[in-house]
Amino acid sequence: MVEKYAPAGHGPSELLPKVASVLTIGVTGPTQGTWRAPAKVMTSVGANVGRIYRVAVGLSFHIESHYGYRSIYCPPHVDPEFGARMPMQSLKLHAELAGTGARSLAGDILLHPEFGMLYYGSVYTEMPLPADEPMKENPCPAPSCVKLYNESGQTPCQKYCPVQCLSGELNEDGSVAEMNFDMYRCAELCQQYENMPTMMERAFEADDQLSREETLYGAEAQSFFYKATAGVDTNAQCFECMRVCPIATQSEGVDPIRRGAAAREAAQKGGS
Amino acid sequence: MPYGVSEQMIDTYGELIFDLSLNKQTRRGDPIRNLDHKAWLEQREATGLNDPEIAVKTGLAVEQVTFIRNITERRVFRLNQYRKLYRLGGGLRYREDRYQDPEEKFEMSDDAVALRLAMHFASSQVKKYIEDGLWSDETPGDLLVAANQDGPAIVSAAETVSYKQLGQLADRMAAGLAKAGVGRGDVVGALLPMGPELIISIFASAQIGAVLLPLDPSLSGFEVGEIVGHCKSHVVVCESTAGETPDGAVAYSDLIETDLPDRPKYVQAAADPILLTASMVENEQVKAGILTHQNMLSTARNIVSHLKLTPDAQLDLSALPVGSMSLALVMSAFAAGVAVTFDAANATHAVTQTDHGWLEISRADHKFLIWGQSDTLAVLIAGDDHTFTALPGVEARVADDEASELQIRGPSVIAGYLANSKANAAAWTADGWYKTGTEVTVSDQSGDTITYSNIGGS
Repeated sequence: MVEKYAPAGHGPSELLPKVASVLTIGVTGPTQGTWRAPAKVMTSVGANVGRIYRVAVGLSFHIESHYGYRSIYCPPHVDPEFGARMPMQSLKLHAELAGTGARSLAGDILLHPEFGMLYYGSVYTEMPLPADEPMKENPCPAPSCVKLYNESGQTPCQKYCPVQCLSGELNEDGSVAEMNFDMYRCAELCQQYENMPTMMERAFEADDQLSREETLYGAEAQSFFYKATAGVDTNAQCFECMRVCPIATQSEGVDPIRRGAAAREAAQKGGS
Repeated sequence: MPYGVSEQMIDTYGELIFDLSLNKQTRRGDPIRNLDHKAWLEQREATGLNDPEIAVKTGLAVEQVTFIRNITERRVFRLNQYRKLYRLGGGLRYREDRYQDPEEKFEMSDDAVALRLAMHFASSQVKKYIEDGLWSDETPGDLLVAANQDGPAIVSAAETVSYKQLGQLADRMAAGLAKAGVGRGDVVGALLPMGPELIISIFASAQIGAVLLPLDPSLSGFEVGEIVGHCKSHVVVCESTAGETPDGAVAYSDLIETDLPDRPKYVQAAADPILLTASMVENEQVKAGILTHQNMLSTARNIVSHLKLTPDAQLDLSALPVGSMSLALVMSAFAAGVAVTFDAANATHAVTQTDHGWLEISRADHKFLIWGQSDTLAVLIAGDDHTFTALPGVEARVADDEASELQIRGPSVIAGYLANSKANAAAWTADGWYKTGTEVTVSDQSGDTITYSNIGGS
């Protein structure tokens, strides 16, 4: 099924020729506190990609050692020779076909009705496994988003995107008629700063010495060089469409405070 | 030509490839979740193609598509969008209409840049003024906000303008100036007598970061033309009641926008220039001293601390000439939250300026004498014995020569003269003191306090 929907050259067999199954894993996004942080803080601490990669790597080793089937952790990286931020393999496609997420109005970010916005990882294995199915219903758009759309012509994610990269239309029943995503605007916001070649080019082209020094030693350059030397992830991520998404922020599964309420109550009773 | 790609090919194919790629994506319905492979294939192109697919569609080689796409992306991307994120605090929602790129706020015309480049303060002095609290981030607009909004700010025979109304008039005129193309650092000539319109003009021009150039209506047409030309005045404001508007001038009333606009977006920095003090000197040279918000506000605070004005005070400025000292006194009154008046009937304080540079501020039982020049603003204050001492932050000395010239350093002294290297060279000593050209006699020196008399032969 994955091969059928993946673009040419991006199917699982490109990585593992005798692949029989694709396993998709998701971890939830930020904590409730993180959602309330300033946007520039979220660019640093909002993502949970590191966690999911560790889980996926561990799972591929686990399948080989415990079940004896070749497995590979699916690289989450882009393949710049194939397209604009084109992934080597689409983790999104895997998750969607396996029913752990459905495409949203927010640039096709996958959403889960219980766990909201998830970070996905995939493992390809030669072990045959029964396949799951896509979700029966798409949680996006949420009823409150449909209401806002009917009133204003925009859903929250469309309205509050800093670069207005989202647009689209809903059907009368509230389902998605069309979702438009100007990815270049989003990428420009998130990925085209702290960019070494850009800084170099701007320095070469600077009109005067002050502008040159600002380019090479200004706030943007300082941030880049700090991250480069400290080994911190230099990829930024904007969360503003998800910050206003009721599914991403308010679903029961994405709220550790609500999830832990029963356990906290039990512990309190046990201690009293 | 990398991969055989020319600049012309980028022009020809760049936009098409950009649009076909993942840079622009459209999804109709939910084909994958519904396992509707046919629908998925039908909209495959709209969802964004990879480079091999684009190569098939366009007849270019894959390497050429990749190269053209990368170069085109680089040219489409603008920088600094991420600053939009930096402005968002926790829980705030981004609103396009509330955002302005920081770079745009600092855009200046070439003339404005030239004016800025003509400014220079000694760094050691600036450090001292800031550390001592003589210079702050206070701007004239802050004075209006801090005052009792319903209290009178300007009283004339025709009307009384409250602080709230003054702020609104300044906002409306600022909008009019902005509409006339006046931007940050641009010069606004004001061919207006000392009165409400001139006062509103300085607040309005400061509101948008512009620089007011007061022009005394008693100047000849030739002098006005020379000064306006030298200062590169962007617009000249004249009296609404002047009858025929002089060539190139705009009537004050035409700049007052009818509706109260949103406050214009600009960066108001107290270190920016606010006023030019221009005059014609020998050989028909124009001397235009540059005063900053900090110059004006420091002298205003200095004056008001000595005047001890009561809330009902009204300073009658109707006898004052157009000039920086007069406008500094306006700021002093507003710093105290009291009114200036052009109607002597209700005034509590009469203000006059003498030939020797004194501002004489008198009320029934007392008289204050403050000395300064248009390029130094107020620097000395008279004691009861009619000798003068320096105001806070001001240093004064007497040249050790026959001329006994008073020399000044202080937070209210101009930043330099615009486009007049001869005047700049003549005005400062090698060690950075401003030469007032005024003869003075030291009558007493005790510790740090020097007492002067005989200012300018008075």
